[in-house]
Amino acid sequence: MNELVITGRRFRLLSDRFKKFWFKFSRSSLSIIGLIISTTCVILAVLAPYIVPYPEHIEWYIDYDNALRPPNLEHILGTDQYGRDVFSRIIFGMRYSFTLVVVVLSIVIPTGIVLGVLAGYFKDTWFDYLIMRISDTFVAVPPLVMALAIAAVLKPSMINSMIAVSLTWWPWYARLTYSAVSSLKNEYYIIYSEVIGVSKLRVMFVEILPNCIGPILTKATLDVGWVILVGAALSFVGLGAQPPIPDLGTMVAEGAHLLPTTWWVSIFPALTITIIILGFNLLGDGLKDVFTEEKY
Amino acid sequence: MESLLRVEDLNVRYKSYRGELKVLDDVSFEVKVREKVGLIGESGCGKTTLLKSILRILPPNSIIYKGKIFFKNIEIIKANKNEIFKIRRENIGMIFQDPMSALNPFFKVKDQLYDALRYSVHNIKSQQDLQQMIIKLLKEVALSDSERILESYPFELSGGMRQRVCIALALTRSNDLLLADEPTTNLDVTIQEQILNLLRELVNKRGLSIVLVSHALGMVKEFVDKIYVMYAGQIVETASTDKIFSEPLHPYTKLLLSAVPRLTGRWKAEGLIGRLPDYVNPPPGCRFYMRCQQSNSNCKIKPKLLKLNKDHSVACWLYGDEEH
Amino acid sequence: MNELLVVKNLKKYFKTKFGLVKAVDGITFHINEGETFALVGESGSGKSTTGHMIVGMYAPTSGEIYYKMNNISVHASKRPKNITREIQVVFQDPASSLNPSRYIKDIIGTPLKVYNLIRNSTEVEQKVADLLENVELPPELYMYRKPRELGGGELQAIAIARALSTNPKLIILDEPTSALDVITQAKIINLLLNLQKKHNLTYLFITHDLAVVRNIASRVAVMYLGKIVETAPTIELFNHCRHPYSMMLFSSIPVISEDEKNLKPKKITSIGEIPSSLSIPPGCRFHTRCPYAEARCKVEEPSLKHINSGHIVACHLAE
Repeated sequence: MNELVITGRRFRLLSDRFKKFWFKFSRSSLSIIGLIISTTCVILAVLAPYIVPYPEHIEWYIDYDNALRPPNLEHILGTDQYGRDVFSRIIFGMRYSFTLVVVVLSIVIPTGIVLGVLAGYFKDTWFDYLIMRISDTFVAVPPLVMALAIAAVLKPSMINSMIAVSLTWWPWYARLTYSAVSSLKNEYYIIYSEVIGVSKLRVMFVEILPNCIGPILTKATLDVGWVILVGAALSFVGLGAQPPIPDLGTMVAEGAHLLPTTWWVSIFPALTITIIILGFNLLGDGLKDVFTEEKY
Repeated sequence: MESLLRVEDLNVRYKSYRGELKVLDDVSFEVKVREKVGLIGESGCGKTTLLKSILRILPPNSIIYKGKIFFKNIEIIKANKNEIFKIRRENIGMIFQDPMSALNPFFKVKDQLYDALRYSVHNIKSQQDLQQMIIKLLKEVALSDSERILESYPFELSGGMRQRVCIALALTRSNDLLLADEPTTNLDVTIQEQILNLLRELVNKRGLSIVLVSHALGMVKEFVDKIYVMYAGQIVETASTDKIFSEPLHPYTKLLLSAVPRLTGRWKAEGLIGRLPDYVNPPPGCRFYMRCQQSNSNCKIKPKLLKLNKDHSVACWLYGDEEH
Repeated sequence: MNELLVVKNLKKYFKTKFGLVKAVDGITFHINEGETFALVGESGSGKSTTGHMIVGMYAPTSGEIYYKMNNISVHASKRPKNITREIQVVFQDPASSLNPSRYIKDIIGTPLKVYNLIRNSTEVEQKVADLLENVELPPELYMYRKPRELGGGELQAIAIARALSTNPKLIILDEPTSALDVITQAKIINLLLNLQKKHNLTYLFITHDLAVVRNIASRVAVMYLGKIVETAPTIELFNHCRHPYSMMLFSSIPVISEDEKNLKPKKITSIGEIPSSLSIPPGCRFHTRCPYAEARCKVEEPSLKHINSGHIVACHLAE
């Protein structure tokens, strides 16, 4: 058999799969809007140091002469009570928010998946009961309340708020994976691989897990927004990132007592949070449509 | 006999990531009053698409590219929503292949029948009246233990019973035409026979017309008056049931018949090469041409459905004159 | 003849929250090497459960399965590897028996790796290509496809290729064609027959389609509610079937020609449905649907009667 022919076919199949993905995804214009918003946000956050007009305004900077200027050509979103450019701080704030998301999700998703797969595969054993009852306990309390409680015990800081959010978040992934795995493990292809003697670990992580990736990926996308929201909420009540770090939650908090006259100080960071959440939710909905198998 | 449903040159396409799937290609089809029509062909040849376009329940990525469907002088494709709903409620019923997914798992059989009747029958006077009608309906589909069945959820019933409930549901909506999309495929042979006998009895008693889609040819033979053979979205042959089985003309019909396992035991299906053509780029002429063992250069031009005699038409260049 | 597989008084009970389900309730049969043995019955008769026990998907409640004189009445994980390798299975619904998220190459390659039938990864590709060619699928088109991109017939051919990958002796075919249309069914059956000749395979063919059985099986056992009611060589069964249930199955086969109609036994209209295996009728299990049932059928369970060579019937009325 010709190697080149096979490689060529493989490439074409891959591009076919991508085209199919895009076809399904792009059927809804809302998903496209979501994709545009979320990628823009990510790109802005990544390139923040190169694009913001006043990088020096981010942390320690005081210029009372320009304090509380309303939005104008120089400062398109105005300035805060120390004269710092709100736009620059928002862009950097997004950077912190996304850092929080990346750290939290990269702790939470693998942990949740591994525990969920194990519990789902060993359903009705002591391991299943242990993991699922612990996660029940966490799920019973709203994540924000839980995170607040944990953060209050720890010292307020960026790292500790990451820990608090991660601790409240893993059970959701564990449960999602658990339910998918425990139904998939009765499929004939899993039973077949057990019968021929494929090792348990391979069955769990090579045969079963790839089939649950769709819902996990969808949830991860939706969670980008929610993790940012919880992180911002922690900062807002002073349990997360501390000033002068330009966290979106902290910024809303700092500007809150200036409302309603100097509204731009807190409204714009709040609006940013809203837009990010909206964008990732729309994107997640689009992904869900793609992963839901249709007959046609 | 008067014509009840007439499909003329219907073209249905599906949008896909590779382009448009040209599924139905100039399909013409007719059902007369009190006629039993069979539609046969392998999976993926567009049988279900044809039925769905009659009820206008095609998926959202479909396009009715061309063609007309007349039901009692109503043009179904151009009809407005209310007319379509009225037809679905009162004139045409459909039985689906999988009775499990055709019934709502959250509601008791009673509630589902109740809803169906409420929308399709106008002269319901009271709750008792309705109850009477439901019990009568269940009797008609030979579900004797009606008390228990009415209080059951679909998953508590066996496959055969579920299909009977589906038939009862379809009956509430069909005063003229019943569309049966492989109604017995998922059932055991003994139950298949029972369901088929039931359908035949009901159709005769109520004077309905029926379109039976199936690839169980033996079943179709015992049931219908007239058969349409479909291949890759085209009608390739149509004739009375006896004619199709005694003197099949189109090479595809012959192939289909040779593939049926025989009780005589001399079963050796030949010429099963190839598969359905790609609907994105179907061959311009006869769509069966790539698989046909009798094909010639003519076949690159599309053959029309040629009427050979009163009840036998075939779309193949092997038959009829040059001008076609 | 060489008996490849012997099943003795095999039973499988499942405990459910509704009670004890007697899926298979004491069946005995054997399969000769190189033949096709058909197990026929309606859904709920226990025929698939029997097949699954032979594959080793679960251990029997009681009774024995012997493969080449080795007792294998345990779960597959407790069987010697060379025996699980020799018994392979093809399931009814290829869409649920092939992992939808893996490439065909990996699906067929898994058993090759598990049984150490290949030395390195380049060999996998070559071997999978050979296997795909063996089932008449061009390898370059299928190697890197995923199951959900393919049709039922192609998938079933791939399932067969996977079963063949381990050089099996016995293949359990669990309704391999009942989800397919006639043309695809004919293709798959032709393929199975060719492969049987080529590789000297033994088949256990589980189905409810007697017309297919007539064409491929050498011996048939008819099952009803967990029991075998009649066993006979195919021709014998089709010409002189004795059990009313077999007759009922026969007369409900739809046929398309006159000479087939003449072959069918006297018409027995099928009535009722197979009872639940939670509440098996006493006496002869079939008496609730049997048009010939007598008083003793309701109390006394019929024993197996040998009619003539290889023809066994469990019916009071068969003499």
